[in-house]
Amino acid sequence: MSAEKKPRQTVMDWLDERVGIKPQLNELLYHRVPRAVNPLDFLGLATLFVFINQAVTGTLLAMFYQASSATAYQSIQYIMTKVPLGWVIRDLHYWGANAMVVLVAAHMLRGFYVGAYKKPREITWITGVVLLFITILFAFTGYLLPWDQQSYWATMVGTWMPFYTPFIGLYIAYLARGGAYISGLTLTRFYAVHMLVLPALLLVFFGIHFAMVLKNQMLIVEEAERKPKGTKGLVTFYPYTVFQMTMLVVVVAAILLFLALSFHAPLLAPADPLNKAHYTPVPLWFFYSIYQVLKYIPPALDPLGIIGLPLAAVIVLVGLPFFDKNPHREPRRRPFAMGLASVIVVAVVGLTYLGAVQQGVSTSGGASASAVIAKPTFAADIEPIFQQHCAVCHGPTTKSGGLDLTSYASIASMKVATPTDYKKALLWQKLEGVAQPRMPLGGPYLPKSTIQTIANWIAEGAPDN
Amino acid sequence: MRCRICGHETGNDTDLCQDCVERASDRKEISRRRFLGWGAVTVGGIVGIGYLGAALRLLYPSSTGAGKLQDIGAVSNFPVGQYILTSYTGDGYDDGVYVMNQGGGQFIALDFHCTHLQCPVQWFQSLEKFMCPCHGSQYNRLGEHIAGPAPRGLFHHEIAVQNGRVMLGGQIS
Repeated sequence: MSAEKKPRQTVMDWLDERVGIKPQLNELLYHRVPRAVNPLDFLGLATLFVFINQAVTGTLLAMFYQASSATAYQSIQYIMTKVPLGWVIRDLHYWGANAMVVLVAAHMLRGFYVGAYKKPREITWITGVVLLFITILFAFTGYLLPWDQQSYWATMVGTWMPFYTPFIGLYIAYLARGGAYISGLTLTRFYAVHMLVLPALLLVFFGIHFAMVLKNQMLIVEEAERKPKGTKGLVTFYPYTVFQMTMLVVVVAAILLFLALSFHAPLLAPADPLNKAHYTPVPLWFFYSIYQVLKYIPPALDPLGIIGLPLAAVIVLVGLPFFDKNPHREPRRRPFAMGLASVIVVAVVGLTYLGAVQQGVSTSGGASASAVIAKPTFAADIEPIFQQHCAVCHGPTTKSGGLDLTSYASIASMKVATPTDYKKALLWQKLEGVAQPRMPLGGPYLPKSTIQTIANWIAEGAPDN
Repeated sequence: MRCRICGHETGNDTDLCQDCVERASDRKEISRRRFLGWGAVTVGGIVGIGYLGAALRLLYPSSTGAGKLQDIGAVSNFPVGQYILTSYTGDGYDDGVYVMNQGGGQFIALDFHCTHLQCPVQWFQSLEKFMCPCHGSQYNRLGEHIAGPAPRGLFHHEIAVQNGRVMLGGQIS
């Protein structure tokens, strides 16, 4: 052994003699990549980083969390108020969970756009689809753990969805719940799946996913490697790309931290199986699109919306590399695939947005309680109020009492918003409780300012403007 | 090379002639190789199915049908014709149940989860209806489905009167 060898070199040689991956490591570190990389090609790395964030913050939370229906809620409160930095860790975990769903979806869309699911990368794509569903299951099982009203009732609704599967629906629902309804047994079951089953599955499928990326290379790398050595604009992976990747991780971490410090994870009242406060269940945001579809289709088709749509999504996503026989990767040479995908993406995003607005997540709609609108218009001010507070019973499919408040024609023909002396109009009387039963039925009732806005609209002659 | 079974020249560098190979396959003999291969798969499969079966048996709740009867109060606590929201708790249950004294010793117990997506329904005495806040399903006084997207009426719980006490059980239909 030469005397000039540095200690680090000695260690590396010692390792290589035993592990023997030096050639592969060199290949990995010094392969050629384009200097200018689209950040969208790093979405997989961003997802991996957020997953590591979830693993670290999740492990820390688990050291304080107590998974039983009697103690779960209090232990979350303890984490938020008593544990040093506990609230930051919980918020990081909460935002990380949402970011995982968004990033996995964005990563898949990018892969679709550049045609990265085509031969020979089919297995990378399919394991990616599996990882998407594992991510959704992570979010779903984790959501119950705080054991507050929101998580309890969202899980009640979510675990009932398999009920619509033909023949075995009820069995799947009971198996998921560990009983007829959500109870402490559901909580321990979800905790075990969240902490043990899903991480193991994720590691297996991520292992295959990552191995296939290494084996088949990323598309941009494949294209770069085809160019002759010394081509302008090409650099080695280490340290150039590695530096870019580190920068991306810093940006993602900064965004997560900003979200965690600015917007806190909600913790509502403790779960109440008797729902004495009349809380109205709200689904998880990534189920909004399905929830919204259910409002537009006749009830007889509900099983199709609840089971059929997700099943179709699984088949389309897994089968994509096999259905799509078009050999081209350039988006403009795949008009059919790009067109269809655009329609689906617009539909899902649009429905999710509509769902968010109608669940009252957004406060920017006309229903905001803060100000009375002097000259309200039907489309901009009145209809959003009806959509948010009345449409569940007085919508196009339910039409309670024959009235559909989402349709101007129905309002006009039922004469609920006349005469212009609004105190004589049935709509105002119902909202104020002058006519019984007061609406919205069972409460919570509309704020005074919102009722006044509606009164102003009636006084104007209830125009369709 | 000579065949190791019949001793004839094989005509190549293997020690089995074509005739002997065919004769052996005609007798449908299972080679050692095949036997060991399939044996490993079978034994492994049986062990795997055993674990899976045990896991499913363990995880499938045994308490989804009629459960133990629980005392929810004296008959006199339940005025005739009025629904009272009570709870049934136990193994896999923590559940709101609307109970009504129908008079003449008859009781009705309705689970308070809408059968559409399990939102909690509310009883409105003035309307004589159960109504769901999520998608507007409605049920009549007996829990029968009358409007909205629910696929069926409310689930019933087992209920009985024993020695002047109202006894509530698990979900039955």
